[in-house]
Amino acid sequence: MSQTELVTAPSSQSRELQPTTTPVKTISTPAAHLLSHALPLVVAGYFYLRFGALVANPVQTLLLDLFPIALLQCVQAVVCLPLSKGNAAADHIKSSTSTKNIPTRTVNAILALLLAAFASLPVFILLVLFGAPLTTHHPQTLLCAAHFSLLAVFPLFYTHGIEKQAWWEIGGAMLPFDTVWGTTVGVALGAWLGAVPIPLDWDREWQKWPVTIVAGMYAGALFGNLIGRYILYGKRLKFRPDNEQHQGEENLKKTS
Amino acid sequence: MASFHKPDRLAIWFLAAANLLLPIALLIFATGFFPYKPFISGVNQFNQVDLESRPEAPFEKVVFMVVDALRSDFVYSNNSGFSFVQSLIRSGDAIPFTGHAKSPTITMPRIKALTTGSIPSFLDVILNFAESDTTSTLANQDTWPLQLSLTKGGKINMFGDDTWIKLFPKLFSRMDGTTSFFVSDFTEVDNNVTRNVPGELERADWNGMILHYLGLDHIGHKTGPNSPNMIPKQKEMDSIVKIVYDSIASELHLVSTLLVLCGDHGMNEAGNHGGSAPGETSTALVLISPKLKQISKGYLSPVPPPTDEFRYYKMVEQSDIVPTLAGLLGFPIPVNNLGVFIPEFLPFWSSVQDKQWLLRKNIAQMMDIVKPAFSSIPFDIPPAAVYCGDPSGDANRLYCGYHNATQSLLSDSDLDEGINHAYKFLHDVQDTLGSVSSNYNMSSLVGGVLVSIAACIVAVFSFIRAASSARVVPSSLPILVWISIIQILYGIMMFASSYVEEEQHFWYWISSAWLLWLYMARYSSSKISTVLACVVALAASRVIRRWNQTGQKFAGEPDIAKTFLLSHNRLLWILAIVTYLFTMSKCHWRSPSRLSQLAAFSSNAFTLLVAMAFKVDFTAADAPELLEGLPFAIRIQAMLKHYSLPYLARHVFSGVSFSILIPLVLDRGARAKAQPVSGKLPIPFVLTRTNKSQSHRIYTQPSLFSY
Repeated sequence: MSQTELVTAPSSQSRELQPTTTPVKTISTPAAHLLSHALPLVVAGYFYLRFGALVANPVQTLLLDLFPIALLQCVQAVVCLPLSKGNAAADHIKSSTSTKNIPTRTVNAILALLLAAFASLPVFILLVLFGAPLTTHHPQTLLCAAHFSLLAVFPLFYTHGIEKQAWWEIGGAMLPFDTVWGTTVGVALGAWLGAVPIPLDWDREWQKWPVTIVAGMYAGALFGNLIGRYILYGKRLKFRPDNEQHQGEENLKKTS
Repeated sequence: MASFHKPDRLAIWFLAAANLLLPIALLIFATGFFPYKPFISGVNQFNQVDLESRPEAPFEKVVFMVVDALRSDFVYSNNSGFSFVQSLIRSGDAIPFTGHAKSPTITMPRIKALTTGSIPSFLDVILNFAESDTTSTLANQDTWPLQLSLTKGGKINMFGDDTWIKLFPKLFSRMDGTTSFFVSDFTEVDNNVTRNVPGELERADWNGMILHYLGLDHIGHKTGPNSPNMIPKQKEMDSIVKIVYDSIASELHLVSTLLVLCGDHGMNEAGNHGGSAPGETSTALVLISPKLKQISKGYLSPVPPPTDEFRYYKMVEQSDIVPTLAGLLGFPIPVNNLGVFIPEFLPFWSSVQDKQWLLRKNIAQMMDIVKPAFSSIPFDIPPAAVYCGDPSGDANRLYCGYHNATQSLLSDSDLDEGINHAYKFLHDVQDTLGSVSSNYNMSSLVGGVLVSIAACIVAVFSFIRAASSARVVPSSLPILVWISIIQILYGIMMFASSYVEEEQHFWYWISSAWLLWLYMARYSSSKISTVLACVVALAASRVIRRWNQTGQKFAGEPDIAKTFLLSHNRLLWILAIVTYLFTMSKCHWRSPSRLSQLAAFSSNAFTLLVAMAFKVDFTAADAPELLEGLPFAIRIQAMLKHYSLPYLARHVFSGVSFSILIPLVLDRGARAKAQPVSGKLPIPFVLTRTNKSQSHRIYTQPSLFSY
C-alpha cells in the first residue's frame, strides 16, 4: 500500500472539524501591560508565601486562599484579557480589547468564576483518573481541583465564554497558544509533574497529598503564561503528523 | 508495510557494535558489583599457650532459637505476645538487644552472618534462590556451629528451616528440616519443629540445638505485621522459650545452657523483607539463662516505642553474636568474623586478664582480615608517636588504632581505658570493612555505566541512520517520540533509589499521560466511541494503580486485592472465571475443516477446565481464605482430593501443547489459503492462560522470599 493511496482515500466516516479559534491578545493599554506581567508574579509570590501554611494545614489554607486568588484572577481578567466575542458584541464595543466598560467586564468575570466553580467537579474526576486518592482525602482533592479550575479554567471561560468551537478545541487541546492557553497547559503539565516527588523516600511533610500537585500547578501557571505569550504564541499542539489528520482511523483499519 | 527494504550498512554496523558493547558493559559492572571478597579458609584453633591461659567459659551448651522475621518490637513492645520473655528481661535472666541485620534481609545471607560473623554480599541473594548450588554451603567455612561441634563431645541438632541443613551438610547429628513452600501454612511448619524439642531437652548427648521457626514469617507475608494471627503466634513462640527455660532451670544436665532467641531479619509494614528499611533490619536478639542474673539487674520491659524506629535497648550488629558465643562457650572465634564481643557479657569474668584475653583474641582474629585488606601497611611494626597524631585515611587510622588498643590492653594499670581503646578499634574495623563502599569496586561500576552509555549512543546513531535512509512511516513518529521520552525518563529514574523501589509509580504516571495523548490524537477526526475508549482505558489504569500496594513507601496500605477482594471473594472468582472464558474465546481458531475446529475446541475446553481446577486446588493450599464461604469451590476441591497439584499442572501443560499443535498440524494445508484477518495464531493467548494459572495469587510476594 503506497503513501499516495492513503492520502487520497475517501474519508466518509470522519467528521473533521478544523481548529479556527484565534489566539487571545492581551489588552494593550499601559496599565494592562504592566498588570498582565505583574499579577502572575503576584499570584506565584502569594503561593510561595503561603507554602508553609499549605504544608501545615492543606485543607484550611487551600480553602482560605481561594478568595484572594479568585480576586487576583478576576482583576487580571478584567484589566488585561479581552472579553469573549459574544459578550463583546452584546456590549456594543467594536474592539473587545479596550479597557472601557469595567462593569460589564466584572459581570463577565463573575459569570466565568461561577462556571469555573462548576468545572471543579470534572477536574476532580480528571484528577482521580490521573491518580488522586479516590477513597480518602476528598476535601484536599476537591480543593486542589478548585485551584486548578481557578488558575486554568476561569481564564478560558472569561475569554472564550461558552463558544462551541472554542470548547470543542479545548477538549482536544487544539487551541492556539496565548497567555490563557499557555497558562492552562502549564497548570495541567505542572500538576502532572507535581506527582513526581511523592513516592521519594525523603519523608518530608510537603510530600503529602496534594501539596506537590498544587505547587506544580502554580509554577506551571507562571511559566505557561509567559511561554504561551511569548515563545509559542499562535502555535497549536500537534498530536500526529499533518498528512494523517484526516486519516487516522481508516489507516488503522486498512493496515491491520 | 514500512519500507525498510534498503538497509543501511553503517546502521547495521552501529547496531552490531551497540549489541556487542552491552554484554561488555554488563561484565565490567558485574566485576565491580560482585567483587571477589577476601575469604580466609581454614578453621581457627587455640594454640598451646591459648589453651593454658584461656579463661573459663560460663556456658557449655547453646540452644539457638531463630524465629524467622522476628522484628524487635514483636518481643519488646507493649503490644507483644512474648510476656514470659519480657518477665525474664525484667528479672535479669535475659539480656535484650536489637540486632541490626544488614541488607539483603533474607534468610540465607542472614544465617551466614549469624554463623560466620561476616557480611554476606548481594551475590548471596542469588545463591539464596539457586539452592541447588553447592558453592553456597558453609561446609568449608569457619562458623560457630562448626567450632562448637569440634569442642569436647560436640554434637549439634537442627530442627526447622532446611536452609540450615543445606548450608551445613553433614554437620548435624539429628535433624528435621521444614520448608516454606506454602506460605499459608502457619501451624504445621512450626509444629514440626516443636515436636522435637521436649525429647531433645531430656537428652544430655548434645551441646548445640538450633531451632528455626518459619510460621511468623509466613504470617507476615500473608497478612502483615498487624495480622490477628501475629499475637497468638508470638505467644506460641513465647511458650517454647518457657519450655526451654524451665528445662534449663530444672534439669541438671542443662545447667550451663545458654538460650539465644533471635530473628534473622525483620519485616516492613506489608510483612515483606529483603530491603534496608528500619523494620526489615531491626531484629530481636535476646540471650537467656538463669546464670545471666549474675551480671544483669534486669531491664525495663515492655518499653514504649523508641524515638528511633524499632531500636529497642542497645543496637548491636547481628554478627556480634558470633564472637560473643565464642567467648561464652569457650571456642575460637571463626576466622572471617567481623563481629565484636558484646561488652554486656564481660562481667562474667572477674579478672582483668580474662577480659583482656577475650578482647585480644577478638582483635587478633580481626587483624587476619585487616592485614590482607591493607597489605601496604606494616601492621607489625609500631608506628611513631608523631605519625599517629592525626591519622588520615582508613588504613592509617586502623594502623594507629590497632597499636593503641594492643598496648593499652597489655598494661594492667588502666583497665577501662584499655577496654575502651579495644572496643573503639574493633568497631572501627567492623564499620570500615563492613561498609557497603568497601564491597563494591567503584571504578568498575562507573566503567560499566560509561560503556553502556556508549552503547546507547551508538544505538541511537544506528537508529538515526536507518531512519533517515529508510524513511520512517510518519504514523509511527509520535510513538517514537513517546518511546524516547519514556526511555530517557526511565533512565533518569534509575538514579533515584526510591524510584527503583517504587517503579510502578513511574509506569502509572507515564501511562496515564500516554492515554491522554492517545485521546488527543484521536479527538478531532474520529467517532466518539474511540475517544470514550481512551477514557475507559484511563479509568481501568486507575483501577490497576490501586489493585495491589507494591513498593516500600505505601506497603501495607489498603488496596483492592487485600482490602476489598479478600472480603468479596465471590467477585474475585467471578473475575477469574470471566478472564478464563475470555482467554478461551480468544483461542478460537477459525478453520475450514470441521474436524480440526472441533478438536481445537475440545482441547481448549479441556485445558480450561483443568486449569481452573488447578487454580482452585492451588488456592486451597496457598490462600485458603479466598475459598471461605464458597461451598461450590470447596466441593470442587473435595473432588480433586486424589489428584496432586503437579498432576493437574502437567495436564494443563499438555492441554496447552495440544491447543497449539492441533491447528498447526490439522490445518497445514488450509492455512495457506486462509485470509490473514480471519484468524490469528492462538499461541500468545494459550500462553497467557498458562501464566494466569500460575500467577493467580493476589499477594505479590513470592513464597520463595521466606527462605
